[in-house]
Amino acid sequence: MQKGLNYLLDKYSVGTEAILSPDGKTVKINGENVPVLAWESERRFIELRGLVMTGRLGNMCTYRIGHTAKKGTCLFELLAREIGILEFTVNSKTTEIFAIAGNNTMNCIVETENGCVCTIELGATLEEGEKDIDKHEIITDSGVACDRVVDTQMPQQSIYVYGKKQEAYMDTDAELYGYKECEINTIRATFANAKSPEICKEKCAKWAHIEKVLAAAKASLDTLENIKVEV
Amino acid sequence: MKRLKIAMMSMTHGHTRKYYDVLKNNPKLEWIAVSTANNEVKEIFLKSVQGIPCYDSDEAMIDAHPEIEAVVLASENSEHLRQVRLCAERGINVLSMKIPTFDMDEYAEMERLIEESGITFQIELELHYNPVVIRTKELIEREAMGKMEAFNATNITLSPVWAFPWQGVPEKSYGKRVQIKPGHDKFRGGALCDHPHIFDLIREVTKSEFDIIFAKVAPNMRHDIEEEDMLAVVGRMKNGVIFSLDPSWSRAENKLKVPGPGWEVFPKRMEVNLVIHGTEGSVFTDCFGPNTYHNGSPENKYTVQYTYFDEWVGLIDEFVENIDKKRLPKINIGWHKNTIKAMNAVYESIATGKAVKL
Repeated sequence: MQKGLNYLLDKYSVGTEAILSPDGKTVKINGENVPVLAWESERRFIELRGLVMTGRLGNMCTYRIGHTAKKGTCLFELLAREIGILEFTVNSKTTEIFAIAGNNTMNCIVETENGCVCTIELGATLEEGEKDIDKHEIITDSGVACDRVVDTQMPQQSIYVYGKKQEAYMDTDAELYGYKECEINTIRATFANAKSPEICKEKCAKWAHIEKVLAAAKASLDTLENIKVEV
Repeated sequence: MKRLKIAMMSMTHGHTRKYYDVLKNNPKLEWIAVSTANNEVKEIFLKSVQGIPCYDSDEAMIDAHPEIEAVVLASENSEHLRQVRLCAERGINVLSMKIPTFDMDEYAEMERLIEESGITFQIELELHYNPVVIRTKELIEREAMGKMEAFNATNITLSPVWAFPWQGVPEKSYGKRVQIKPGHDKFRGGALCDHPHIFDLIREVTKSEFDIIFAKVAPNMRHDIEEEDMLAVVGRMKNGVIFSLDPSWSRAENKLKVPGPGWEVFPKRMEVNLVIHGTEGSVFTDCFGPNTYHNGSPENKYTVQYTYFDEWVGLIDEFVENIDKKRLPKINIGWHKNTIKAMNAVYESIATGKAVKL
């Protein structure tokens, strides 16, 4: 990913040095670690946010999020991502959360400042090599927006090959052609950080808030209470 | 072959029309008569079905037809107790709609009436007769996903209140007028009251009962109805399985007086999806899919042509057999009580803002 990032920094003459962490979750810019928040550069979430921000949808009602990942995935890591996606796409912060969990599953009800009531259903059950299965559906009083086709639950790919072996490809970025989708999102989000100190500042604040939501979720799991989150 | 002499009462329930074919065509049934609650449903019925006597009151119908052995209570929830009394007095077996009542005192009285009269009382929860659900139960039984850890389900539809107005009246749907939570402008009786199926199914497949329920009401999609239409429910069963249940009316509709083509605004009118996580994997189920898609008339908008699995065939077969063999129905008044208690706990959690321990 660093190679792809360096390519963009060089091509667009961005003079900032940016070093991605091995897990791709933070980037060191001018000696400071900044959260990447890769989902903010994921095309489908940019489009969902666009539908909200341009007023093409109505007032928020509910938001349904489901994410099933590989066995062993940390549920709080998944929750952090989904809270980030929720807040980014509806442009509003979490104000309260109720969470309940099993061994490899967690369900939450989250409310945001703009009144959206969101369910987040998490599971870490898939085998190694399986692609995550997720779905994000915003339901308003004047329209629904979703990153999955109506009447489906499974993510689709751009290309399916039925030859001697079955293959599937998801290509979303010609400039970074050849990188995996999650790598492209990380490179793009890091590149956005490198270009703008303002974005770095915003992302630090957003991550600090997500950490508060995670702490509230942990408190809810311990107490079985709906926990308020300071905005 | 002796045929069961059956009738329908009220004809105001959303499922009324689902019985027309099965009552006409099931060889084990003889459709004797119907009683209608008002002129509007009478007119709809008379346009839809010919040759079945139609009466203006339940009493008039059963007085005129003492041969009636069973009835389908196709009525608003607020009428159920009165009709159960009437049927119990006359020894008429009952197929009840999905909510006998939300009032637990009324519920106890129904239990007593059924016990004392000895009638068969079956509750209509058609998901039990859905082939996808039958397959899912098999997969759970053989632990295709390992030991169950989470059961997440949607039971989301458009709102039926424009076609079936009683569902928009708190007193008729919930049984009384209760604010959904203090200071809120909506009342109990909306989407939750329409969607007990997933609260029932989880009890069956987990072989467990509700332990903890937490729920929140969301801002309404429909500002012009009095009841809740959007809500979220999470919690845990006594055996540790966690759940997330969505019984919302989250699919927008055109305000048709009689359901038919063009009802949908959102392309799909109804969805029951299950995501079941286990120790070894997950099962994703679409109980009403895949479907057929079109943008034909009347609106030329992209629409999911709902695949009609006729659950009512199996449901009626079981009802007839239960009466014939004097067998306790699977969805009987006793079994269903904990489903109703769980739904009441959802309303309690919404009102108090706290998790409810059952």
